[in-house]
Amino acid sequence: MKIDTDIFYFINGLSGKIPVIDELFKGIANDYFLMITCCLVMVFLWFGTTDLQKRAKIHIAVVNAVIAVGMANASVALSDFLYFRIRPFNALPAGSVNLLYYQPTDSSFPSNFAAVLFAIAFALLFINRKFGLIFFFIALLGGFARIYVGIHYPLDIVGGAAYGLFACYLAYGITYILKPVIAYLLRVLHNILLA
Amino acid sequence: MYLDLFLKYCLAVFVAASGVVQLAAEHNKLNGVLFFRNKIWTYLFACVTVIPSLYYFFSWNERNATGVVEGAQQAGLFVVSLAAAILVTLLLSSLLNYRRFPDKKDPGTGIEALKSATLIQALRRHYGAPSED
Repeated sequence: MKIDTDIFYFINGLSGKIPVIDELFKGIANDYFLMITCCLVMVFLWFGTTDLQKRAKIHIAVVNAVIAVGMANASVALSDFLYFRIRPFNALPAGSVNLLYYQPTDSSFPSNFAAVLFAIAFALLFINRKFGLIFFFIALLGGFARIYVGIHYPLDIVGGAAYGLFACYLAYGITYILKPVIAYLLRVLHNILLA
Repeated sequence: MYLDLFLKYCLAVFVAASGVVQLAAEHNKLNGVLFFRNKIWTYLFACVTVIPSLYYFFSWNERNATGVVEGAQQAGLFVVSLAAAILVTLLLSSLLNYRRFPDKKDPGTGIEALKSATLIQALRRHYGAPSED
């Protein structure tokens, strides 16, 4: 798709000009920083929410987010098995891509990174709009950074977001079906003072 | 090499999670979980644990260019490290705050109980074991 490549060139073309910004996006785009930050924020919300009713909702949202992350990973793995898109630094003419990252070998579409971050964002957005929007912004920033460093097309990120949304709905379905089991687990955690 | 990386990953998550739990405990007034009575010390502890750990992950690819810890491994290691951080925090705070909560009333169940008792005190008081607090 030409528009996909054009947007990729526009965003990736911003890199390589200001080293500090490049370093910033390299850090944001890596597989660890944003994921772990999001998980730690969920830990904070789990223990730190003061309002009892809100906390009960947050606990369910966090459980949904964890299931959604699993679903997102599984659906992306299945997709990679069925369809393989070559990464932009391999598909586009040599020298036209500013690659600031190592060269991943898996499929470019969909972005697993985006799928996981958007799955967390959607899971929280359905329960708590404020935190959901914060996570949504983090996911957008992460997606932008992956294009900036040259390892994803914009459509990969959009696809990842769609997979994240799909995973979130799946997670809600699973939570609904397993409601008694999840309620039991939360009750056990409550009894040992962890929920 | 992998084992070394996994250990570093776990350690960084453990340290960061310990700081986040302290921060959350201070925010929610879970006095039985806190390591320090002074909130400035708690915030300082959170800063010196969370910020360097997050920076460690931020700059991960500078040290390990190809990442190495994959998605599923990352999830498993994170859960183990988080569980260890919570367990160590609750046990250590139970020791540090052993004499802080003389009131022997049942503090109830759930996280709220940790506002007026340590984990061990709350479990013993609630589940009726002979109290030696």
